[in-house]
Amino acid sequence: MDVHNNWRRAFVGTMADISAAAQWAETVTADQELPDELVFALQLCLEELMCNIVRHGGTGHWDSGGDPPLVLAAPLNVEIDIAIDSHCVSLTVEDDGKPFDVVNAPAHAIDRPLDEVEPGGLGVQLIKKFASKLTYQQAGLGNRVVVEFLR
Amino acid sequence: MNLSVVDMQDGITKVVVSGRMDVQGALAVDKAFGTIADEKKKVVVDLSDVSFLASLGIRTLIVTCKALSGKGGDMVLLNPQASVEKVLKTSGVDTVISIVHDMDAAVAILNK
Repeated sequence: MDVHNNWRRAFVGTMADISAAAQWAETVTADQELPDELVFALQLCLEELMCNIVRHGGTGHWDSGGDPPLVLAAPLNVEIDIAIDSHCVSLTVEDDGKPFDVVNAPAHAIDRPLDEVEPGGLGVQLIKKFASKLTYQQAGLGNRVVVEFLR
Repeated sequence: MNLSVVDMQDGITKVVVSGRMDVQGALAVDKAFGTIADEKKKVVVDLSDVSFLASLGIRTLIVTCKALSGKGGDMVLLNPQASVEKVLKTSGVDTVISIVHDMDAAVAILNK
């Protein structure tokens, strides 16, 4: 029998909720007998997606060179869904921020000498490399990203 | 996330970090890494007890290494856990900051 489990929770696009979402995901995945590498990949993709939402999704803007705002003037709504079955773990992140198609966004790895490297901008690369499958659509709250991890 | 600084022989400084180097963790150690970049020259960052690394943590490492390199210093990453090392290599960090798995190799690079 194919066991299927599904968890969903609402967050807001704040620094505090990046950590809250990570802790929630850790709790959800704790007793599912998932490989450590898969849990790490899920945590990494969730962190990068939440950071993108907080930094770029709202009307405020956090340039990572400065101190990030702990609370945006109007924090975005974020809904996170984790679905686990025998073959796959699926992470869905929806937000009502500015449209951002992570699938078609440029993915940067460091490809130049250290003195020419501009810090930052590595999140999309990490998401694309650690996900088994990545899809984006404008649906739900606005942006919907589905990240799948094969077991 | 915790950070400790140990001054060793040959002007080498060992920085031991532990915990999750996620957005909160990176922000927690940013200032300490800034001080290290200002005051030290040859730095080993021991990642043995770092269980998680994301892009904001990478940013902290890159900024620190650039500052050290800019004044003739260098930085080496020591003994990252497998998943953390995968993050470092996936993002290309290993092309600009050396990753080693024992202290002797770190010292050899910094004393070149």
